[in-house]
Amino acid sequence: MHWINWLIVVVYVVWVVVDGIRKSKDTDTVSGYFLANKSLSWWVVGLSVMATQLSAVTMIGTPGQGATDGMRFIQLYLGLPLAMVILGVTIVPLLHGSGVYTAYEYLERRFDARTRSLTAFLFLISRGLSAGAIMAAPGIVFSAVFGIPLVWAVALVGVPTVIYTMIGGVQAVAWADVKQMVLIVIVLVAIMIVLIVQMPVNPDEALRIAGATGRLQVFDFSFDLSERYTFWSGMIGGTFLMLSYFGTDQSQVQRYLAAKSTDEARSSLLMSAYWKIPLQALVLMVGVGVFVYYQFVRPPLLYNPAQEAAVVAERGPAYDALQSEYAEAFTLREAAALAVADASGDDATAAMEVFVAREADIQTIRGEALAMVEDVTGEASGDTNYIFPRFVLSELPIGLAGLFIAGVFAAAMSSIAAELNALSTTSTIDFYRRWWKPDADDAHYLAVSKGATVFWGLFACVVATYAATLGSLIEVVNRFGSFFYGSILGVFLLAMIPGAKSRGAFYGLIIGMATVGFVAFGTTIEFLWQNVIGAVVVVLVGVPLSRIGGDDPVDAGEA
Amino acid sequence: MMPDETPNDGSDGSRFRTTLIRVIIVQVIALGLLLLLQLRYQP
Repeated sequence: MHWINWLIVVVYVVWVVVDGIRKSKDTDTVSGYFLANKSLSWWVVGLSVMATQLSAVTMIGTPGQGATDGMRFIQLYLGLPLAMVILGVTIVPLLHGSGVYTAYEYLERRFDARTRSLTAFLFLISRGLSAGAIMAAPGIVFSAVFGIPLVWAVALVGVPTVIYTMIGGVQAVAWADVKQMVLIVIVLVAIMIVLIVQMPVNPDEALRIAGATGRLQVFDFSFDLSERYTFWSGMIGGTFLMLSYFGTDQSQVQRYLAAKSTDEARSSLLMSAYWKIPLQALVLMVGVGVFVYYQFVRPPLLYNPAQEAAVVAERGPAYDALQSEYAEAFTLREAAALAVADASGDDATAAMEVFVAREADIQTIRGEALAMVEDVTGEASGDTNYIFPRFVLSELPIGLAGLFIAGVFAAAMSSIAAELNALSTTSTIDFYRRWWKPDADDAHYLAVSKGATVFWGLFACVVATYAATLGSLIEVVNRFGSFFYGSILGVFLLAMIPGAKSRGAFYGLIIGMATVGFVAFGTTIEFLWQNVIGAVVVVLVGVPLSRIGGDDPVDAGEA
Repeated sequence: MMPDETPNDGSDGSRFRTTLIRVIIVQVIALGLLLLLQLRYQP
């Protein structure tokens, strides 16, 4: 990599870590460390909320998703704006005004300790797994850049992140997020401009080429529970997913608990309501742009350099033959793409059909190459997550590539930091302080929290080495989350229903999770719907169960 | 008893409605542009 790119990356990372540690004043108390003494302005929290959700997975996996599958993934976010508004008038004022450190602490006040503990435990599992998937994304970039095994690349990101999270607490995390969002938007816009300038066709022709293969199919209005992304799964399932993620997941809740006031907390969520969909559209369009770009500049047959090196070493002659076939197929597809760009009227339809056939030929050859990878390495061979990093490193001008890697680093660190911060807060407050040592001083809890940060950092690193091979990481993260989020949301919904009791919440949660488990492993219903199913089952079971038997004990939560 | 909330003098309700309308308008514009893209370029 060019030295200018290196310089940009190093300068940015050092600035984030040093500034994050510098912001660690007033973090020697539990309130200062976990909640920044409720001192953060709405725009800092708002950018932090957006940055926590815009991880390196979005920077790497989503353009890859756009390049291979097109724009339809955006439907997953259709429910987000409505969810933010609903949260602004329901859970946000409830949690911000109640003086809690974690969302689950509130559940003990409302229900009982076992409901709090079970919900917190499910959060730890789901967020721990997601933290690993999120850590895999930068690991992929760095294993491609440096040609090192994924496990070392993951450690390269994990170690500095654990350090500034551990030292600086939520203040360090929030201010790093602000820098990240600014950098990410600059990088994405710059990449889009470069794509438009460097393509041999104009934007209208480029969109026609993308549309020919279905990559501009944004909305699918069919109501099919087994279809992954549809308008309905996004509006309904997506609303439930976002309600649960932004309303009950400690990694987001801790952001707005640190806001100066309830109004500022609400305003911070509205930032996402306005900007999330346009931002995601930009990210996906960059991926679509890469797809079009690669119609005219031959991309690698295999995007993962480590996998390619393994195949070359074991199956050199066979791989060379496949490369020749690929080169010929690419030439034919390039000609077909140009024909689509030039055609009009009836000729356009015929040209598109030829182009689609040529694209299918390319995918067949890619399939053979990926099969070789599986034979040689014995591992799953998905390389969607490497498409965009390879494009950036080989096609972008010097400096912009460095900014992109700095952006990936920044995105990764801020999201991982938020996850680790939340995991350690929940571990310390909801388990250690609640069950083990309720009367220690702040210095003791801070020490425990720092140890918990290290533990979850290691856990995430281990999960990351596995998650990288599971396909598009952005889907992996949302699939992990959807397994748990619906049922957790259901518990918080029950908390708002007068008369709901701890018995209903606890057993409702268990039955909700069991139902989602059955749906996930026993049916073809796609993951977004699991959010709805979990929430609805918990409420439908929890309300009648609450009516059986007597009131909650006095020292349990009060209705 | 639920934690105390800010007394509702009706202004929260109207502010919520105003915010909801603004969010809907922005999202309709963004999604409308994406739908136009689909209608224009998808065969």
